[in-house]
Amino acid sequence: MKKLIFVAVGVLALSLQALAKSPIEVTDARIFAPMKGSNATAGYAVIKNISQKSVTLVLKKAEPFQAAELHETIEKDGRMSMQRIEKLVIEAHHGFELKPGGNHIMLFDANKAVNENDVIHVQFDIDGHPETVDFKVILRNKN
Amino acid sequence: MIAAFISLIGVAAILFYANRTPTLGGNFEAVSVTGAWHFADEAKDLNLLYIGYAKCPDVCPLALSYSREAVAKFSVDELKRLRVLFLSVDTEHDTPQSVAEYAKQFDPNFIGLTGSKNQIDRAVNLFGASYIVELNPKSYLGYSIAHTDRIFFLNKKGIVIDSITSPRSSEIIVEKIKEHL
Repeated sequence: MKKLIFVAVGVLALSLQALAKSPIEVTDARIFAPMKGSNATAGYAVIKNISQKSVTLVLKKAEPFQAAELHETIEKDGRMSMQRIEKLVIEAHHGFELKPGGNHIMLFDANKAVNENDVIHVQFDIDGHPETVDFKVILRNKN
Repeated sequence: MIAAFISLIGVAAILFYANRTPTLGGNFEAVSVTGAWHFADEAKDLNLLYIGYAKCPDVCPLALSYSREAVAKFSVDELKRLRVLFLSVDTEHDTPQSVAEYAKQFDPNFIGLTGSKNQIDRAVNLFGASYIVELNPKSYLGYSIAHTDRIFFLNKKGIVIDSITSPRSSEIIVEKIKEHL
């Protein structure tokens, strides 16, 4: 009986988690397929905070890449410089664009082939809650 | 009369010298997938040069992607008078083979180059560009390279005749190519 209650509580908890509405909406999420000669690639998206309060996003992982990081590209002394950032904070009802030449997701060393139209399940921590966002893989060398 | 004429020539020469535009660029050496490479050897009427590194996931592939889109607008005959060069400053990690392979994925005619640190530094200085290797222990890669984000347009002698800072569209590259080709 105890076992049954534990299972029921577990199922209920999972169901509630599934029903919980995400505070963000993500569109145009894409990752460029890695290119030969480089072990790094980038991902971009438009993220909108649809909740009533600010949200904090931390990038956790994006398999099959060995590392996934948030970076910002900034101009410094006439040079474009990239720096890792730990989190993104998006104010309530505001959007944030991860875009070429600006903030982006940086991905390193895929341990298996990543091809056009693959979907990469990018895992974030949003205000302490895990959330997965699907990014579609696209090619750079294609109009 | 003669003295006045000579004075006039002298003043004109001084004014010309004072107002002349500083010249950037020239012939430079690097290493390609086939070995030693000199700009002058197979220089085209118009040469586009971008200085970056292959592990750069953001602005370098952006510039090369827009360059690819731009050159696709031109005819085969026009492209015979044009070439695109990608010069890697990451002399520690990029090899002539890896840079060549990287560049060719954007367009089979793009030429990927690197070289010794001396060769790269000389080329970078020649074009008034710059780069700094920044250690980044918090990142998986451990470093990044801050670098000039500019497409240089070079004539057949390697002289900079135009440039685009932080190219963010192919249209502006097309316009410049049309203007100079």
